[in-house]
Amino acid sequence: MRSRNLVIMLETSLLVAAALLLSLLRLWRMPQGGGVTLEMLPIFILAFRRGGKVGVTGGALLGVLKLLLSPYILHPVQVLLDYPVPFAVLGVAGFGILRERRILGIFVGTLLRYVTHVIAGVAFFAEYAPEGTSPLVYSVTYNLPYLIAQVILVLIVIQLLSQRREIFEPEKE
Amino acid sequence: MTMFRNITIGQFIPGNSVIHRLDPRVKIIIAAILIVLLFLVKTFLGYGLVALGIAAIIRFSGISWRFVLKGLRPLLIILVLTVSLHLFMTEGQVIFRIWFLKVTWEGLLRGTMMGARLLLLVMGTSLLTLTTSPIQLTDGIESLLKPGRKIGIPAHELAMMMTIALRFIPTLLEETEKIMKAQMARGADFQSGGILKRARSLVPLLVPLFVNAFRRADELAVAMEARGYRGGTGRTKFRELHFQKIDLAALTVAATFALIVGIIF
Repeated sequence: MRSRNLVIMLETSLLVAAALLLSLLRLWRMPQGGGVTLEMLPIFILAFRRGGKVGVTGGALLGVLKLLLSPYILHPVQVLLDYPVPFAVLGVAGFGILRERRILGIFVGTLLRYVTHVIAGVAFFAEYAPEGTSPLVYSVTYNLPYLIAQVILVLIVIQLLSQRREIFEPEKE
Repeated sequence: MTMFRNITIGQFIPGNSVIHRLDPRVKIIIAAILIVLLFLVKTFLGYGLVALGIAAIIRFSGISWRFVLKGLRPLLIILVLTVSLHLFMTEGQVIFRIWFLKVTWEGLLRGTMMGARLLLLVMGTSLLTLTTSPIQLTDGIESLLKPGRKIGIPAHELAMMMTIALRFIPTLLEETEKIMKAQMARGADFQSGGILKRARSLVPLLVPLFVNAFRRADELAVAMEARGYRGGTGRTKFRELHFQKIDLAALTVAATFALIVGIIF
């Protein structure tokens, strides 16, 4: 008799591990640093398979583990908004209508991630840049190209995987 | 096999120094103190003292400077950007001009200070991950989060999920490499073509990655329950954290140092 909760916890762990693995596999390099990876895919799959709450938890854990493995701490607020939060919000794709319409779910999740990274950038510049410079423009443009590339890739792969029901739906317990 | 070349998971450098052996909880708290301190300090003397403190930790940890400095490389762009923004954009007494850009005395001061803060922040916090294994860090986080149980933070479950994730990264990596090699032997090409072609070539890699992950989760659940796992309450540990005299000493030294430097400078 396996408890359903334990199975969900372990699926979360293994998909977070898969996300960390995929974050190492750079498919393209972006000129200004950062790479195009499929790191978001496992969190979306988790959200579609087990719902939004599990997706958000998995995303937050992915963020915390990324922080533990290679921290890049510039500012207390930036730490929160660059690590746990942007990945946690991907899990929103598992709530309500977003779970049914996966493309919309992926789009909304990524958009939320983009917004948190932008706020993190603004918080950073508010602290470090002199008055009179406009941090918003830099933050808005820096995060855009690699996230657009990542979301396109994730959307294509999700479409290609969509026939595999065993990935998106758990076996009947 | 170019895609996974030079992969290191995390930055941990195993060792047996005093710093390595400190309780991970103590190291996490000291890192937090350091972050707060760097935002309190407002003078060059203060930054200098913090730098000396960090240098002392590096010395005690036996980690080579090369490693510490290597960790600063991703900071380079943002550092140059921050310092030069201050250098050229701050109004004040002009030192010299290059074409239309003017460098001011005030800008030089602010820029150097901001740059020093960034450098010390990244150096200090990466020392934590250089000297503490991710598993130890997770144990430390679990223990520090324990009081949060009362407000509904499932500290044990979160820590266990992180530990299992960390444990399985190498396993999944090995499996994925094996599949990649098998596919490449059959002529698969993961490295060229447009976005659609590459996405398509990844599917034979991703399907087994996910299917195996779910199968493994199931098997693990069976194995854990067969051994009597029923959540965090009353569970004993293979690795116990022990708060020792040396930990108390380190914490006292760090806290006193932070108080003095934070208040005076």
